[in-house]
Amino acid sequence: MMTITVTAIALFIFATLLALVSKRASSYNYKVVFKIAGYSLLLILIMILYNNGVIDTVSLILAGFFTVISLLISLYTPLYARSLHYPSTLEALVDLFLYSLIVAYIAPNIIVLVSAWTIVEILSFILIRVGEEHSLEGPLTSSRGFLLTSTTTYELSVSTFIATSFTALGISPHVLLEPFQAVTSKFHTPYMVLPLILVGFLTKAAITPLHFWLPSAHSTAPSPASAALSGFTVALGYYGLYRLLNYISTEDIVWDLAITLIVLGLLSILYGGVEALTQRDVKRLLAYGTIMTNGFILALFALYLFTRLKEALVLVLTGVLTQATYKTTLFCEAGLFEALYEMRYAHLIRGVVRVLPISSAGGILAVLSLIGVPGTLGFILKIGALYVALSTPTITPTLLALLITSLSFYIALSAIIGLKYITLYYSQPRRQIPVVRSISKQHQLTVLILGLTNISITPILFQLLGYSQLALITLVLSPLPLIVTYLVVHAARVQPRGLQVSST
Amino acid sequence: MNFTVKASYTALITLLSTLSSLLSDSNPRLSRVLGVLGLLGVPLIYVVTKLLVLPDYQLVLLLLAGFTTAMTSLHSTGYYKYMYGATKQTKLVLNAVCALLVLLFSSTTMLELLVYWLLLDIIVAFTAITLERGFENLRVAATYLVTCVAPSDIALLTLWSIIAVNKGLYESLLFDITSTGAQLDIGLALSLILLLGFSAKMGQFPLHSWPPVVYGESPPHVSAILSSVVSKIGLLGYLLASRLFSIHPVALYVLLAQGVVSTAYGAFAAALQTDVRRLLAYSSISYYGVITVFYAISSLLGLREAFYLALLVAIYHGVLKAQAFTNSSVVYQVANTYDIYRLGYIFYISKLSALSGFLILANLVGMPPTVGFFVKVSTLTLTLSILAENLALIPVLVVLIIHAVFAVMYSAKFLSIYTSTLPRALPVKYVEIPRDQVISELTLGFSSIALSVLILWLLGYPPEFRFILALLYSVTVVLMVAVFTKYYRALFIPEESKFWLTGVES
Repeated sequence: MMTITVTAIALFIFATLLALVSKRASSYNYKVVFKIAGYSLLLILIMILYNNGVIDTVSLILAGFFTVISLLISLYTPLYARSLHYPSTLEALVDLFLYSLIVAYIAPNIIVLVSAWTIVEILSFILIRVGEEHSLEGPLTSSRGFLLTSTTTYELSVSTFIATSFTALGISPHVLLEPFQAVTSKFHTPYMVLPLILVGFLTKAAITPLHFWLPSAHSTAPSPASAALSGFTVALGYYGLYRLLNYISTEDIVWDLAITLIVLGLLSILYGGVEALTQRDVKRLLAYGTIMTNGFILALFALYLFTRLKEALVLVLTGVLTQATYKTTLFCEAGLFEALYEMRYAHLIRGVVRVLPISSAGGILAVLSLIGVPGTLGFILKIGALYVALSTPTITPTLLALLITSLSFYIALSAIIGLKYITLYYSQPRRQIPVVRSISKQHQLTVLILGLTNISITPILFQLLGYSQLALITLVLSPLPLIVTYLVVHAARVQPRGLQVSST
Repeated sequence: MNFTVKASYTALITLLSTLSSLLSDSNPRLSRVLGVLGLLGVPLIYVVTKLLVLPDYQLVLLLLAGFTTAMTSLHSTGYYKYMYGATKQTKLVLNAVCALLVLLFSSTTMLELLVYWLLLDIIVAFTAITLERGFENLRVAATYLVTCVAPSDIALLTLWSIIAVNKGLYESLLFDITSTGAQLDIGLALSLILLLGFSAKMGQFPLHSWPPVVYGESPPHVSAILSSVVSKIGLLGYLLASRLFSIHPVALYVLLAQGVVSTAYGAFAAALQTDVRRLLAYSSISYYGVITVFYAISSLLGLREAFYLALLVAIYHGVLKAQAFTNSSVVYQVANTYDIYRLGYIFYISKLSALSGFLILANLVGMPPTVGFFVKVSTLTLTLSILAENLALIPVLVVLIIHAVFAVMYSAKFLSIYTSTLPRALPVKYVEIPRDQVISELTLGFSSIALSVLILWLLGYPPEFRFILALLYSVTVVLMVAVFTKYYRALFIPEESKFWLTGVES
């Protein structure tokens, strides 16, 4: 155990150094080499921890996929910072932020999780602050809102949890140091305290009515940071709940808890989806989309809490990964819009396919995943939700009805949001918007590769979880979104003309 | 079915239809041949050689899909050539939709059905509807997504999940949907979800608001395909649901009520429209209602005749609406409007499309040689014959009569775009319609007559009855030809145009 700890710490420090050194590299190509080396070391670290049984499959899947996506975000950051004249520290900040996030996901016990998470909170605050100082538009109170709402409630919940565990089990660091794998000491919480424990995690996941900090925070932060915040940080809410609820015996209140969570989820789907449709700022639109998707994942999480089935947990993981892939792609693409037009108004930007031919393909793939085209991760999420809901024998009619309602609203709203988003690619602008600067091919390519993760991680995910037949089927289906993307790009290039037939 | 057969079938259809669209500018003749071969020829060959074995209803729907999509695709070549100068880009999307439809109706496993169905919905919503107008059609696509795609997809996914829960995850994906196994017993709630979802695909009450918007605003050939074939996926859904599960009777009564309301509403609303395509859309709702009613009757009473009648109405409506919507595209092409009250003179500038319009009128009114006559007569006779046993069917009879009467009204309105007024803008030039369009439209039009002859031949009527019918048919054909040629000659516009009302020569 000692050797693993030492190796892990050494590897992590080395990986961090590599990432920090990359900031000093003279050309972008050197940066790429350093960053790939750093994140590969992190991936090796995750594999070592998993093989030695320190972390379980849930941590492996989340941390592993997040590392790969983080690498792409990290490669995207220097180009973004250069073209939008961000301070040079942004790159290092984003790298540190991503690293601490990954550490939170591979934390073997509560104390590491809580510490890494606190660092994540502080770094997110700094990143939002950087974006706030740099941006020309948007609210100036978003970082304060983030700190006061998200961070405070998180600390409140964690402190409550620790205090409750101390009162229940006696004051000893045992609970904090015990690995998640070997949880033996379950304790009862007073009924009144449970909301206090839940509130921090639900705020982190931006569940209505505790969602209000998210749209401004995610839209103000620099785009790579928004991508990581929206893709990875909000998922910490579910991850934290998943870990901490293992310590609390919930048998007697599981029904009330499930119903509460699922109703909150349904509210978030409706609120987030409807708000997203009325937004003009692309990043705010995406942020409300995050609230909507989170609502759906919460409904699935409630299903997991109620049934404790492996399939339900797989669904929650699929949901988190779907969100992570498509949100990072779209936020990074929104960063390209910022650089290209110096604005990001959804109602003005049109015909992106012509200006950004490479990255648009990635963006469209992400939108297709949001809509749920067969072959993407989003499709598996939707179809799997219905399957698990109907195949669970212990589910009650009320829960089933709520779940199907949430699914229906989620399908409909995500399709319309996808449609609204896809009009950015389509057709000529009503008024020509001046292009401020050109975007390099490298920069676009990172977004395209991010977009490809929407379809490429599905087979790997199912292979890792042990569903090899399902992995094969998803592998066979994965070219379908590419075909649809081709058709969409093709149709977007059709010149819509006023049909003029002379009357003479 | 053999995997290689299926793979070759899929590959042939996708390859031929894609090639057809890619070659449509450089080599139009080859493109036409490839398109018809890919969409109609390949399914026909596979069906005739028994490589593709399908149940009767799916076979019929497959042939309908192949025929109408091939003709619509052919028709679109002329349209886009005329309007845009180039056809390649638009035809690629259109042919993708057509190929997916043919593949959907020939699917035998659950996986194929799921994939083609969902892909089709997405391609239609995201590329086909926005093809001509771009983001201006966002509202239309959103309407389509919310009121048609979302409910029907939920029904489809529910259908799959029920099988998956009972048969296992992988087995359900490879489940043979054409098999006649034991019917699973599902409760009322699931029956309602299934039937309500599939009825949304057919624009049934209470989700009847999307066809006028979508058919009225999409590119004309997309409307043609949507109305004639895509809606029949809803019928396929009904039939699959009742083949695989035992549907709760209450759900069927709800469906019957939906059908009754939609039939009447569609017929009323169609007569009030001023836009050609909205008129056709409401008429479609009315016909979907008839299909739904007969499906519900056949499932409730176990009547085989009602089942075949529902299929017949589906085919008749498919061919008719493909022709009508393509015909309206010609109207737009020559007059730049769909507004009935601003038209009325099309006969004088395009006689061949007027002939096609006349055939549509004959079908809608139910003139004898067309299949419309047969449909109208048999729907009423069947309802009357079962009315004696079940008096609850009186509303059905009433709405069928309303449907028949209002069909005459709105079809007259439809024909009025050709002949109601004399040309206003002068000088009127005779417009040459591209040959692709003329051929495909008239093929669709005359196939409705051929279909009625086929039905007469297939049904085992006694010889004297057949003789009477044949006599009736030939007399009406002669009459129609006589009337049309008389009209055609009498109102021929001379080469040099005149001011019609003042008599001043230009």
